[in-house]
Amino acid sequence: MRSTRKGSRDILSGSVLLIASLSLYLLIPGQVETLEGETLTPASMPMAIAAFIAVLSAILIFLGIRQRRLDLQEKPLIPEGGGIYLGATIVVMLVYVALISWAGYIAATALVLLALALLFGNRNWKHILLMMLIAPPLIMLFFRYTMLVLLPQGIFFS
Amino acid sequence: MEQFFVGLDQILQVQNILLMVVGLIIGIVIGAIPGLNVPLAVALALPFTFKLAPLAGLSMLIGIYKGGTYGGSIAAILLNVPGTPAAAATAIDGNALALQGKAGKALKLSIYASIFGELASDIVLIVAAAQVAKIALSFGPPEFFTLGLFALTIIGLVSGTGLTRGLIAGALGILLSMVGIDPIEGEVRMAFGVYELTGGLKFIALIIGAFAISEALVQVEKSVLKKAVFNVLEISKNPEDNRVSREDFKKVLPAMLRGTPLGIFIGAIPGIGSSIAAFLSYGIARRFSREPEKFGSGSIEGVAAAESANNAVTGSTLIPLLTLGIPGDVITAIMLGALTVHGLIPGPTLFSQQGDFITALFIGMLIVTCLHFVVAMIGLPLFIRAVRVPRGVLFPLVIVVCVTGTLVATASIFDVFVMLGFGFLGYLMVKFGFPIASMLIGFILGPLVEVSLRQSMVLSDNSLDIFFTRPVPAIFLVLTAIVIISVGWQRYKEMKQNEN
Amino acid sequence: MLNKIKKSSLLAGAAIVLALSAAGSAIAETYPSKPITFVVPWGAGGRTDIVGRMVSNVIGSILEQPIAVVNRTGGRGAIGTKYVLDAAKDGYTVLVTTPGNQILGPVHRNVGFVPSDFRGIGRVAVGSVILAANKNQPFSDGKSLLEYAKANPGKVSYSAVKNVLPWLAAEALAGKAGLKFKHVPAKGDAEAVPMALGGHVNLVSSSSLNSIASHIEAGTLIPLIVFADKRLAELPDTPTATELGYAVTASPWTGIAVAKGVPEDRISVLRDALKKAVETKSIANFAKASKTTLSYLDGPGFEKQWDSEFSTFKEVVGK
Repeated sequence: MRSTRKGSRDILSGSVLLIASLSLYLLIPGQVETLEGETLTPASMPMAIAAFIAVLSAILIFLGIRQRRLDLQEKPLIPEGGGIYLGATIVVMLVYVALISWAGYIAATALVLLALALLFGNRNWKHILLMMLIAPPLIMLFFRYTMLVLLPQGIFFS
Repeated sequence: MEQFFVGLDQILQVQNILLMVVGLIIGIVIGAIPGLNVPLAVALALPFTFKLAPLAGLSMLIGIYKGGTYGGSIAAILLNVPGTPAAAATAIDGNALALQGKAGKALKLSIYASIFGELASDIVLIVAAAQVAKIALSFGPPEFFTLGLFALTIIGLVSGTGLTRGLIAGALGILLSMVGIDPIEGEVRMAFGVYELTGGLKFIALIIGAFAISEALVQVEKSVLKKAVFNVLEISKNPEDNRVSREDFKKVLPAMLRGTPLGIFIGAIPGIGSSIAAFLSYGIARRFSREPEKFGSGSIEGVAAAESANNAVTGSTLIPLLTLGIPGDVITAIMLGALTVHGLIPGPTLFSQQGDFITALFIGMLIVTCLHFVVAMIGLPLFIRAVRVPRGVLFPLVIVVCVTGTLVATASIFDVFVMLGFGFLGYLMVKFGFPIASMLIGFILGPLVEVSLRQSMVLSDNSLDIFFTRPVPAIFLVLTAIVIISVGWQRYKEMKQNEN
Repeated sequence: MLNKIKKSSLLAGAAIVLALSAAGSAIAETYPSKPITFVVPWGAGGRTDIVGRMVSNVIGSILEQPIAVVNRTGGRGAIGTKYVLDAAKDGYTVLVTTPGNQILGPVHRNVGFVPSDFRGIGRVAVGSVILAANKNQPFSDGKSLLEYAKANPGKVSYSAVKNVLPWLAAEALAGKAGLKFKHVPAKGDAEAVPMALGGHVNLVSSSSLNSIASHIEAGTLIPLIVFADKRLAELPDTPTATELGYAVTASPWTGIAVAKGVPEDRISVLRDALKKAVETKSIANFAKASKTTLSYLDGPGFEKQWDSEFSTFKEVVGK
């Protein structure tokens, strides 16, 4: 992402929040099962807060527009090229969690450690290998024997 | 006096002292590891305490509690990842100091402030438990509501220049806390047809995701800048940066003297907790500081204020537990369980019937606090060394432990996904300048404020008079108004200045 | 350095082998051949959790397998309960259950299960719902409370969590006696009790004797009415609601259940183990110390209790 004009970021986040909070405001009454009884129903507070966020995001957009007039530059959001690492890390984490129950804790963790180490710029294979071999069984056995928590064993072990 | 010696005799046994040390070490280490936290450690130690004598078991749990509340600040300072929610306020200035190479100073200050708060809190517990319990009982729904409202104004005090964004983050926190079962009517709300969401968003998922995973994401994009691959932190070689000087101590003393009673007070009132105490203390310290501009960029006052307050909670939170049988948080709820199993039913009669036990426990609290100092000082160099581990080893492990810790604590893959969702949200918040701390405050206080407001309305038959006719709510309302006006006024002045 | 690595990888290798062998035996036919998980749908340290942990400990030693207790909370117990229903029906996932999660959840809303989706292993303990008053009240016993409340409709307030047994009992009493209490909803027992202690409400409808026993002894709370079949041994002077003319009972039990579909032979293994467990000395000692009323009921009887309570509560709530 390249550098942007100061204020643009507030306009962007403000707009997203404004839309989200307004739609939430409209959606909430349908999300509460019954609305009988007291003056303050389960929906009152969430709706009030959603409205509050909507007002604040409008202010944020307004302030952003005012700042844009100053024509100042802001540093880029992400260092040039860093977005790929970011995106890949998010995907790796999601896949990891999805994989835990299926492949089992040890296998999934060893794999994710490899992927993450590479993403964090580690090229020291000795470190990576050691980490992959020691950490997963160590964590699993720690929870198993000191605290009697069973982590998923997965298809390879059961 | 005789009881004192009986108690001393009971507590001063090798096994008890050993368990205290073990508890402290477990607490500090688990508190310091992002992704694992104190309630988890206490819950996992619970079955173990069944097999111990009550005094021994409780000594260990208190050790874990105290050690963990402090331990959270280690990762907060070194990695900008609060190991426990209580350390979220410490991270703001503690990490800024560490980035200047002054990690040693920040960590030592955190120990001193923690012990200071803890010791004062222990003494209040020992000397004035019965009196403080009366104050706690005088808090009904209107008092809780106005206290919650007042505590929410710290969002204004801690968000600095981005007031609008701070308020949005706080409101977002409140909104997220309301997903799931409404605590009053028991109705499901904002679950959007997702079954697992009827269970609500777990606090632990927010803590781990928004603070630890978001930081890992911020770090990973730096991988593209090859030079940042290795160390996380440079530690200054200058000894001045690694110790707390007499001048430093003088400077932070007022912040500690304000933070400690505040923490003791918050701890004695069930249901608010150490993170709010830390933030309140932090906000107040900033308001009264001679150098408020330093807050957020490495103020030692900020660290001392937050740490003294959050550890001051640990002693006084036992007041409602022991005198009334009322657990103020998850950790004391588990301690209640540990006591119950052994036939010690907390409440007023515990003091009259189990005087020896109480005396021994109180002496034990003081011993734990002293041992805490020793263990923390010995452990300090080890933690500083841990940061020398290359980023490419440290952060992959942090992410794995975050996922594992959430999985163990919630026993739910869904909650782990929620945790990752909070991680991404936290990352976006950092990038767009929204303070995560404000979201945390909103998430904690949201239910308190909503529930007590609705209870107050039931009590008063929907009349707002209930907040004005009682002294305590009226005082909190005035305080709230003062903070709002002063924050607003400051903001107005700043805007004027910017325009000129 | 090399030596070090060799050593650590050897250790890791040994660890993996260990994990493998522990898991490998799971394939065997006998039940249980691997650790069992007890799911507690409520928080750690609470009454259900404590009973669940004590029982699991003993059952674990009877079956010679470790038992892991996990607290899977949320949705007033619905999340953990549904989890047990959705887990593999192999008898290795067991539910520690209470009326709050298993009966009242489905009564009140669509939680995705009904009580009869489960099989009873057995009931372990029952608690008692007690209506207790702050000490400074114009009434001093159950009878005078009812008279006072009748004369001053809506004046007498009580705290209780909504849609759980203590609330149901208080509302049922009010309904039968033709009077109106003001209900101040609380988040949990830990909030309901101090509200009465501090005098913010007149009464508390408490879900266990445990949480108020010390206050009763100290005189800060006065027990007025017990919602049980007969008077409690600990409170011999406190009348039951039935004695006062209104037959309202509520028993917050704790028991063990599994999902329907678990093989019959495994259910009977668990049933036998529980029956043995509740007769052990360690459970008796635990019950005595923690003031838990043991009340064993076998699996089929337990299932019958669910059915009858489910229909009764449905009637009371009117859904």
